[in-house]
Order: sequence, then C-alpha cells, then structure tokens
Amino acid sequence: MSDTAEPLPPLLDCRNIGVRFGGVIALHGVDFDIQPGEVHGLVGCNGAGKSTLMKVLAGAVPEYTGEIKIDGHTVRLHSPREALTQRIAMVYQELSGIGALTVAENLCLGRQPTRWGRIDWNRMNREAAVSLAELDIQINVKRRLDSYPLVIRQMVEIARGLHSGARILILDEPTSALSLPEARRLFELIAKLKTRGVAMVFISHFIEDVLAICDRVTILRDGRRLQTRRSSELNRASILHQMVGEERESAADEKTEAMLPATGNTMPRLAVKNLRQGVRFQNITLDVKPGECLGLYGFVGAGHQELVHALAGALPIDAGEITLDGHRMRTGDVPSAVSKGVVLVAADRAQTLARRASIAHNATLAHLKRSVGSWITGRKELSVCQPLLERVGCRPPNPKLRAGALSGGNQQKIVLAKWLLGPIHVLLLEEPTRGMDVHAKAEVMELVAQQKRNGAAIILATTEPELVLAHADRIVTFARGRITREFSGQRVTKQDLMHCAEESSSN
Amino acid sequence: MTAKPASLDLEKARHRIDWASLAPLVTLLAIMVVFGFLATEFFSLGTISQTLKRGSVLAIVATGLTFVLLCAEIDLSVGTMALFSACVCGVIWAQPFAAGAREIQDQRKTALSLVDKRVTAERKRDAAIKEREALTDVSDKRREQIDKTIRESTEVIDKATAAIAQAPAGGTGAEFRSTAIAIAIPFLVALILGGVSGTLTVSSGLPSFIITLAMMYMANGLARFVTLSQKYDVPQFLKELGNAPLAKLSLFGRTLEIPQSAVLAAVVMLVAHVVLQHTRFGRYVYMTGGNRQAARLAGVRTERIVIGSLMICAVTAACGGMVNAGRLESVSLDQNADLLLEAVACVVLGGTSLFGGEGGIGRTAVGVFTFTILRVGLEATDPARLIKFSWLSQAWKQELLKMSWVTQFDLLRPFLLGIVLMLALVIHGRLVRKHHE
Repeated sequence: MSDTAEPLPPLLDCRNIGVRFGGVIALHGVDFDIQPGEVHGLVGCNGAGKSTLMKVLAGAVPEYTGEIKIDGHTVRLHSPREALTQRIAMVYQELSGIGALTVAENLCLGRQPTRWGRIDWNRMNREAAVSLAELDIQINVKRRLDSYPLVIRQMVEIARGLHSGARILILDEPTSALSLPEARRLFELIAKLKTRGVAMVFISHFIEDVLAICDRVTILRDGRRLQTRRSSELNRASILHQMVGEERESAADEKTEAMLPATGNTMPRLAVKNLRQGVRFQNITLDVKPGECLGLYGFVGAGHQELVHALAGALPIDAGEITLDGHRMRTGDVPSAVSKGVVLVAADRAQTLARRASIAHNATLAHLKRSVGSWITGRKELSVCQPLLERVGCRPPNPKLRAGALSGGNQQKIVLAKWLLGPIHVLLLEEPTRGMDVHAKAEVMELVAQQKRNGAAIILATTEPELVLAHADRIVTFARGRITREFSGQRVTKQDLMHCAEESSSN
Repeated sequence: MTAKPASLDLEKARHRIDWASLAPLVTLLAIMVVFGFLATEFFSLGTISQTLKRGSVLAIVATGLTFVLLCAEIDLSVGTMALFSACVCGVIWAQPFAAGAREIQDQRKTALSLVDKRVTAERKRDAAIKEREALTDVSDKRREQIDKTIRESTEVIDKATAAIAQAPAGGTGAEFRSTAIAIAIPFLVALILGGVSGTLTVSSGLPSFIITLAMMYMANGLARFVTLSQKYDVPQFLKELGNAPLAKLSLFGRTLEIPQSAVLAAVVMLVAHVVLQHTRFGRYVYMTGGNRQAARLAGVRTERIVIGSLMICAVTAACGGMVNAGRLESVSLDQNADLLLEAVACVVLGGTSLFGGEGGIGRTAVGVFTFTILRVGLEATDPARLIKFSWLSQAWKQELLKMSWVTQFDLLRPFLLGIVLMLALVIHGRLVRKHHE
C-alpha cells in the first residue's frame, strides 16, 4: 500500500513501530495509519501483536521504537495521559467503567463540572444526557452503570471517550461479549461516529464483524504486518488464511450448519428437573448422556451460562433437582460436585486461574490429595505436572512459571488440566474458547473431545453458534432464562439457532 | 506460534536475578552494614542475644499474621488478643486452685535466696577456720571471736540446708497442673475468639478489616474487665521462657546466650513453614489468597481456610502475649500496645503481599530480623559518641554536641525507624511492580 495514493493525509501515522519485552520482540517495525472517519480493523491470532500495538497508541507502552505522527506532527506517547491529550481514547475489552457510580458520573469521570468548587450535579446530568442523546443512547443517566446490560456499558465507555474529546477511538474486542442484536446496535453507533469524522480502530476475533464494519483491515502475524487492504478486497477465508499462516483451514473453517446424530437410549448421566434460580433461569429440564456433548446456545443473559454454574454447585438454586446416575445431588456445594466428578470450566479466567501463582499450583489445586498426596513437595508436584502439561500441550511446559505469563489458550489448558487429575463424569464448559485464536481453540476442544471419548458427559454453554454446531451432539437453545427448543438427530443451521435464541425475546 | 517467544523469555528469566524477591534480604544486609558503622559494639554476641530476645515475641505473632495476610485478609486484633490472653493467664494463676503451686514457687524462690546466703556463710566459715589455724599466738579473746563466727556460720548453713531440703526440688504434679491450666485456657479462649472473627468474616461477607477491628476493641475491653486494671503475676514457667537462656555458647572467650523464647519462636516458625509448604491446608491458604473465586470453583472450601487462618493467628497472638508477659515478669494493661503494627511491618518488610497469595514464613523471618535489628541498632546508636570519635575539629564537636538532634536523639528514634521502613517498603514495592511488568 502506498501512502501517496491516499487522497487524505492520515490522521494518525505510525512508522516502523517496534516493541520488545525483555528478550521477546512483540512488534517488528509495524506500519499503521488511520484516516479521519475511518474504521480500521486489526486482526491476528493471539500473540500477533494487536494489543501491543494498540497499547503503544494508548501510551501504555512507553518503550517503543519508531515514529508516531498525528496530523503530520511527530509525537512521543509516554503515558496514557499524553495519549489522551493527543485525543486518543481506548475502550478496553474488560470494561473499566465504575459500576457503583451513575452513568453521568462515569461519563464525566475526572472532568466533573463544578460550581464553587463543588460538583454541579444538575449540569453534569444534563451534559451526560445530551452527549448520550447525540449518539442515540436513550438511558437514564442518573441510574447506576451496573444496572444496565453490557452493551450499554460499552456504549457509555465509548461516549466517555468521545466526551473527553477523542477523535481516535480504539475498540478492543467490543463485540466478543455481545449478543447479535447488541452487536448490531453497537455497529449503528460506530457508523454514526464515522459520519462525525471519528476514526476508530476495531480489534476483533470475529472476522465477520470486522468485514461488516471496517473500511480497511490490517492483518498482523507474529509481530509483523502482513498487509493492509480495503475490506471489500478481502473475505473471511483469505483473512483467516493469512492470520493462521499454516495449513489450518480445516480448523479455521467455522461451521454454519451441522447434522446432529440420533440419540441412543442409554441412561442419562446427569438429569435436571424443573431447575429455577431467581430471574436467571426457570423450569429447566434437560439431561445429558455419557459420551455425549450437549450444546446450550443463547445470547448473553439467556441463562444457560448461569445454569452450568448452578450444575457445578457454584450458584445456589431456588427449586428443582439434579440427579447424577440416578442419585440426587447436593446443590450449591462445589466440593461435593467435584468429588462426584461434576466439574466446571468457567468463562472468565479471572475466576478460574490464580495468575500470580505458578502453573503447578493452579494445576494441582482441585485434586491435590489425589495427585500429590498429603505431604506436598515441589518434586512430587513437578513430577505430576510435567506429564500433565505435555498431555494438554501447554507451551511452555514449565510448571514453575507464573500462570499469568501464559497466553489465553494455554491458560485455558491449565484450567482444564486441573480436572484431568481427578474423575470427570460431567464436564461443564462455559465459553471454553472465548478470546482465543483458531489454533488454541482447536487444541482446547480436542482435549474436550478426548474426555467425551472417555465417556464423560459434556455440557457446552456458549454464545457462539459455530462452537455448538461444530462440537455438540444435541443442542438446546435458551432465551430469557427458558429453554426454547431442542435440536437432535436433524439438520440444524446457524440461522435456526439464532432464530430460536431470539424467539421469546421478540414477544 | 506463541510458544517460541515465551520459551525464550523463560530462558532469560532463569538467568536474570530476581531483585524483587531478594530486596528484603538486601535491606537486612544494608541495615546491618550501616549499623556496623554507627552503633556501639554492633557486631557482638550481645547484640545477637539482644536481637533474639527482642524479636522472639514479634516473630511468633508475625508467623500467625502471615497466614492471614497470605489469605488476603488481615487481623487487627493480634495486639489486644495477645494482651487479653496474657491477662487471662495472669488472672487464672491468681485463682485459689493455683495457690498451692504459687506457694511452691514462692518457697523455691526463698530456697534460691537461701542458697546464696549459705554460700556466703560457707565462705565466712572457711576464712575463719583458716585464720584460726594460722594463729600462733594464742590469744583467748581472738580465738573466742573466731570460734563464735564459725559457730554462727555453721548454724546459718545448717538452717539453710534444712530449709532447702524441705523446699520442693523439682516440679510437683500440682504445680505442673496449675501451670498447664493457666497456659492452656488462654490458648483456648484465643482459639474461640479467632474462630468467631473468622466465622463472622466469612458469613457476613464484610472484610476481615472491619470484623477484626471490632474484635480488637472487644479483646481490649475484656482484658480490662478481667484484670480490673490490676497487675498480675504469671507462672514461673513463662518467666523462664521469657528471660532464661536455653544454652550459653562460649565463642572466642565470650558467651552467646540463646533465649528460650527465641527457640520457641524458631519452632513455631518451622512448624508454620512446614504447614504452609507441605500440607494441603497451606497450599489452600496460598490459593485462597491468590484467587479466591478460582479456589472456590476448584472445590476448595475457602471459608474454612479463612476461618482456620484467623484461628491460627489468634493462637500465635496468645502465645506471643504470654511470652511477652513472662519476659516482663507480670501482665498489665500497658503491654503489647504496638504489637499489631510491628507485626504487620515485619510481615510486609519480608515481602509478603498484603493482597494475598505471595510470601511465606522465610520472608517473615527476614522481616522480623530486619525490624528488630533496626530497633536494636537505633538504640545502640549514640550520635554524641560518634561525634566525639570523629575527625572534626574541637570547635565543631562542641557546636554539634549542643544541637538538639544530638541531645534529644532518643525522641528522634521512632522517626528514623519510620524513615527506614518507608524507604525499604517503597523500594521493594517498585521492584515488585517492575518484576510484574
């Protein structure tokens, strides 16, 4: 791509950006530019350098080499504050808004209008309402931020960036936690901002989202820029091909339809009857057989994710019963569920992994006595972990390393590996591959498939239709805390699933 | 794809010195070097004995607190819990059932003083006998006088011998029982109160900061109530534990006293270390502090771990309180006032994180040494003496000696202690942050 061919001078122009962390080179001289009013997609597998590049722009990585020009002037971004004065704002994947404050307070955080040295609440609420109304976000600014769904919080976050005067917005995985209608709503907002001349960087694993919303796309791999192209010149397959590099089309090929096998007549391993938990889910009756993978599909908040937590005992239930191999289980008690082999891999790795503790300590946490014994020594623990890490394919396979030093996919392998040291009769998965690259996804799901072949019953709760289509033998769709449909022994497409997930939300 | 750089990083990390975890040790060494220059006779066996004796109470209490901090909780009640336990011990010791044991110990005390008396009498008699033998000129008056002295001394010796023979020699059953009760009940009380703090912390969902703050006042009030603000005696066993040396080692013609309390502290720390590093409970303590939700989802009963840690902390606080009372030979309400903050300072100086999951007993030991040496060193530092031995001119010395910070140096010591603490903690904090980046 040649700059001279561009009609407009770039708003932001990065040349030859290089970053190294210790001995590791995270970015090898990457070029990147944004035009005013452009949405620029940034794609790549985990570890390709997307986040590092964006952190440089947000001023979070002061030790970079290369040159950054804004409006033709060379600037040096040493701190997030300097990035803000250059009017670059970042909207992080894990939202940084303060849930306990009102929407208006969040919007004006750090710049509250004051009168006589005191916060002018009326003016603040008025300003907040106006700036949200400009973006067609109709909410009560006096309500607490955490009383709103994720998409609103995300939009408030974007509005906050704009309110601070940003003209370059960096959106890190904005759609990963959003349901389809929510994502659509976000895209409308992005389109609106575009017309106002705001430039945006859109980082995502969802290639379809990137293609749908972005003008140009930059593909990174292993810290290098492969190419920057107009999105009209690209398609999903070609992007995935370049991202992954090697011959992994089969893994990258995410299913949009599947033929579900007919179910046998074996006794169910786990049966759930009339389960209810407040407003989260009601009247849930389902079962799963040994060696079967039951997919639970629905949008965020449909209740299927909370259901797997309840099955694992992590969430107390109000009514209903759970039976394992015909015996009634104690509910709301994780240790007893674990001892019976009913185990959960939760979506949020902040809840499943002690990042500062070593890999070994994380891996042996659940079955310490069974695997290491009552007298724990470092050597015994290492001899348990070494083969375990090789079995799950953790890289690097060093049990002494801090778990936080691993990439997302490898962290998830550790979370899974911890259960491999004990019995697994029912494996409950909540978004097991969220935020992972194609390759890591395939590896994690292969571990799950192994357990299935060993006779474990799998329950896979997700908001990604491709995942259930690729891995489930039977699919149950959820909407607003209720089961809307069950698919088994038939042909099912992504559209079918999405239709069922929206079913009761429309009425 | 991502494996290569990560393993490269690993290789690098292996060769890089981890300054963050070494910082506490470096601080300790730096403090020792500085006081080696400043303090009077710092590198001596006396300083070591002094450090061991002063540090042992702190070490015992800080050990229990390490459990709580590793759990990402805090126990603000350690100071008053120590006081209350010692008070309970003193009050029980003053009860009628222990009267026999007290009497025995009083008798032994008198017997001990009689032994001294006998020794002087024997010496007197020996001298008199020698003098009589040396007398050539037989003057009756002198001889009579000497004979009288010998008679009197012999009488004293016989009386003392009889009294000593009557006094109970070893520990009698009654004495042992009373002492055991007077020490066991405070432990039990602390265990229960620790359990109450723990249970309430877990069940209320409030931070342990709040619950143990309330417990701090409760223990303080109970201590006042049971003692009625009186001073109480404590069992002889505690006095010996607090003061008597277990062994006197002769090194280079000097003696190194190893206090019993230091040995007790070492045993407590060793047990705690083994529990933390080699048992499931210990591992769960680390993981509960590292990520409580992760531990819970892995089937760890984190509530029990928190309760257990707070109970351990209360028990070590009780132990520290009683040893301290023994060291001071009695228990009164003015004891252990600074114990809580000193113990927290020790644990944190050693590099145990206040946010849980990182640290250990080895680190706490380094912290206790650092803190105690800092205090002992500051006390042995006399700026007036340093000025006198300096190479400054006489006039300068005169001027300097008159300055207020020299004459009032005693009052400045806590300030200097604070400065050193702050420096050490800030440097350590920066190193840790750098390490994590």
